[in-house]
Amino acid sequence: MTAWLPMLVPAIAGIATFALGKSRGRARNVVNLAAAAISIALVARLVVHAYNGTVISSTIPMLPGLGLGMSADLLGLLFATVATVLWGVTLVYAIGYMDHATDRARFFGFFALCIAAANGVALADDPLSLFIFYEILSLTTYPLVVHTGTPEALAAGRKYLFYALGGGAALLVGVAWLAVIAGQTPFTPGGALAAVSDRTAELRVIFALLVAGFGVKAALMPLHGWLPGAMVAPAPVSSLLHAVAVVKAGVFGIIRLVNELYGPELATSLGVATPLAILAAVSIIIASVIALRQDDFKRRLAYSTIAQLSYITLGTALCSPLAAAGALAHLAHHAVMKITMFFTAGSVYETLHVKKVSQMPGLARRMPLTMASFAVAAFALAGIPPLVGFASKWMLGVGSAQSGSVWALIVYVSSGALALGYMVPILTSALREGDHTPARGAESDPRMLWPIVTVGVLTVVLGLTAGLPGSPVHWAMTAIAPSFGGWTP
Amino acid sequence: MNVLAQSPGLLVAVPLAGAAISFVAGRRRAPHVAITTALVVLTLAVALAVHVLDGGPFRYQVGGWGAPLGIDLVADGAAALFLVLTAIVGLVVTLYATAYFRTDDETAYGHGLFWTLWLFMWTSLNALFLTGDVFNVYVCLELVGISAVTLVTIGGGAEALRAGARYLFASMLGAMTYLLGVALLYAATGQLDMDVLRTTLVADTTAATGLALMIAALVLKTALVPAHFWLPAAHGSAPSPVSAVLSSLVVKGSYFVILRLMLDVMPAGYLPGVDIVLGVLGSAAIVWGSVQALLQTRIKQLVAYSTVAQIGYLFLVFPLARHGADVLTLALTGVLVHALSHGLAKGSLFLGAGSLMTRFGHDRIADMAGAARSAPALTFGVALAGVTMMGLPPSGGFGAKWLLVSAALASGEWWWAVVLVIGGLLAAAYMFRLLSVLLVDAPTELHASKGDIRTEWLPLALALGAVLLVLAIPLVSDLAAASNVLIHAGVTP
Repeated sequence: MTAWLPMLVPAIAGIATFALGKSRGRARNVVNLAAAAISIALVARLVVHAYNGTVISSTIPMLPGLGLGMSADLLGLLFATVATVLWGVTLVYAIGYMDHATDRARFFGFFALCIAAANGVALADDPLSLFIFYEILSLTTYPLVVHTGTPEALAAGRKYLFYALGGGAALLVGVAWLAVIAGQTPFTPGGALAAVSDRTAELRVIFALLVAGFGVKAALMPLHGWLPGAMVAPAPVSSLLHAVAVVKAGVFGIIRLVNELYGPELATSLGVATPLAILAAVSIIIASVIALRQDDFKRRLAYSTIAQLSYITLGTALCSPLAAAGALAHLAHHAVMKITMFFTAGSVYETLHVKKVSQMPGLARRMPLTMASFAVAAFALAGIPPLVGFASKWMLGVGSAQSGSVWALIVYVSSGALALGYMVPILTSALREGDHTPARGAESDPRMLWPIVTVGVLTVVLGLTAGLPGSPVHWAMTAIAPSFGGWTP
Repeated sequence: MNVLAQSPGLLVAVPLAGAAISFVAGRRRAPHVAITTALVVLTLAVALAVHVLDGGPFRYQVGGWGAPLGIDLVADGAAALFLVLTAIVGLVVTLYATAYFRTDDETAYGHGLFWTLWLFMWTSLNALFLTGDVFNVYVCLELVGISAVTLVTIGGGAEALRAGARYLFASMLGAMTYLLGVALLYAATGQLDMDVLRTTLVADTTAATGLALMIAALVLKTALVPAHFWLPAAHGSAPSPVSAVLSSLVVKGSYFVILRLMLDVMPAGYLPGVDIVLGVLGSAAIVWGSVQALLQTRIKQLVAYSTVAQIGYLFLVFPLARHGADVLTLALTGVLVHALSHGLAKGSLFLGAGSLMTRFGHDRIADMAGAARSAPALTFGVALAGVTMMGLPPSGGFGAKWLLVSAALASGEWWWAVVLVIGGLLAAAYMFRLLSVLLVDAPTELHASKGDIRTEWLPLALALGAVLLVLAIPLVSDLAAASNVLIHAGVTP
């Protein structure tokens, strides 16, 4: 039962939010913040158990011969922790951001349901359960993308659905096919398909179907088209869902697929890992180059997200322990860095209606704390030590060299340079004197400011503590090691 | 548990008595009679399902006379599922109708008759699900057909009358063809009892012709493409509670008989190629119905064409049934789950469409912008019902799609899985086309009367049932295992 709670608590909060209706705003905030606090405590307890070697799991029967299962292992808990903790931070931000918005009950209700679904994806014990929560995540995100109800938002929503449901269809066929040939296949470090590993042709097709399904949310090119458009959603949605929960559900699916469904060995011997790696490498380069040319702030961040997600996919597809651990750590690290940036984008828009990089001159003086947090996150993203992005990029780079894929190392290094290329102009633009200069030091609403500072500080703290037990780096290495036969770094 | 053993007879007798009492009770008291009847029938249906789960299928001799003289009722797991579905949707529709027909014009001719006709149709449907002999099927089909046609035209209006006339034509043509088929079958075998036919049927041109005619007639009654020409008009122009019953229950009645004839009565391959033809027509229905739904500009026409599409899924079981016991079990459970989830979701959609039409005062989808804000419960109901239509988790429709896709992949005939996936995507296209209008940010001039609590929340309740059905799939599987189809196929010992 305990393994279900990180999914159930936000779900109940979401339903309660709908039930409270549009008028009881204070009660709604209390319910959501309390649910976030409870969820964080529940996840923390599960993490302690998992670190001590007890994986709590539970399965209920659903379809003939197949159950719906949840299992609180370290790998899943890393994603659940990221989603839940950042949900709490984003709630505070969203309460400030949505202060004057309409339909807030609907917004916060679906927001909580999205987190429930993301935690379901994180802790799902087998492909079918993961697929179910993955699809719930697609559906519960739609009302948030079209929240404003403008023609532009509805068009973005249509595009989002087109991709998400198409990917879901591929995933359904892949998961059902797998169930037909292998029955229930709980995720197992190192692979769960040993019994049917001789059906190579079918397994290759299924792998492609599953990658097509997860690739949509992971924004793997050419399946990324929905993400830049979805930036039309309110900033908290872009921050938490389109930088953390939704897109990470995609890469998390790929991590489970490679490490714990097929296993690195089978994925390599079937020859399916290398094409995935190449696809991811191409995505990194193309998306980074496109990001250089975006003037729209959120779109630039969106293309950067596409590139960074493919970092994770590439690291996973290399099937080498250090790169795989680096990929998992980067899932957490990128979440912290990117949420800082999207928070910034939201608050400069909400406070000053700045949407474009070219409109930024004066911002650094006007909103120093906000822009300082952004700067820290931007340098972290480019992999400057000792900030948080450095540790995972180091692991990814060394891991690719170890696995003999020097080309991947080159991709990582050059994309780090590209990241500087698309981040630094934002900073220089903000540092210039300009329109926003006069009213210096007037930051945004404190409910938006402090969450930004919090995650900004987190990018420094997590970077400095990367070597300690319990840090995402250590956690990722512990969670990945069993997939590589008890590898120790 | 005497009442459990008697429940098949009572499931016919109670609604019949309700129909008679509602006729003499007068317009004011008729709704109370109907609600009481619906509650009793639901209890009886659940009792029957429990009885079948415990002790397997059983025969019930009306009045103690056995075959061939008396009327035998047969209660198996599949029949129990359809009876329970009918009772749940029936109860909700009855409650909804108490609000719907009151807000309508009180003096409209015929509304007083609604209760009697509706309970009478319920009686005939229950009898159809329970009957064990092919001639009584004819009688029940006629009774269902006549009450259905009358209910379509009950609201009056030229459009409803035209639709009713077309429906009457289809219904009569179907009934006559079916009767001709029964006559041929009887001439060849001298038998009408399905159980006896199952054990005695031998290769014979006359008998085969008879059965083929019967199936063709039932296909017409089920509105399988290309015999769907009467459905959109009839279901689209009837009063909404009637549309709900027609779309979610009545088409399942004739389908249930096809299921029994194809998979239980006839030995495999008795009518060579028919199973494939039904599967191909089913696939055509999924695509054609969905595309038509996508093109509709009026809400109830959209929902009606969606029924044309969703009926198609039910016919995919026939080609899959040729591939051994495991695939048959998956596919049969799949179509039963589909029949249940579609029944609940489609009931919800028609009731919801009715409420939206009452509030907006028209049925044009394009002018329903802003409903999400002024009628959130209705919009949420449409959304949840839509999730089931698309076959997305978590919903009964997902369970059905999963089971059918698994059956298709396990059979090696993967192309049926492709049809299922395309059908789901097309359903998403037409449902989101509707939903995106409801979600548009627009000031709305809704009908002055705030919706009644029944017309606002009952559609949502049914849709929620369709979603939660995903948790009841183990139960449906058990009932499927207790169906005569699987027992006679040797799957269930």
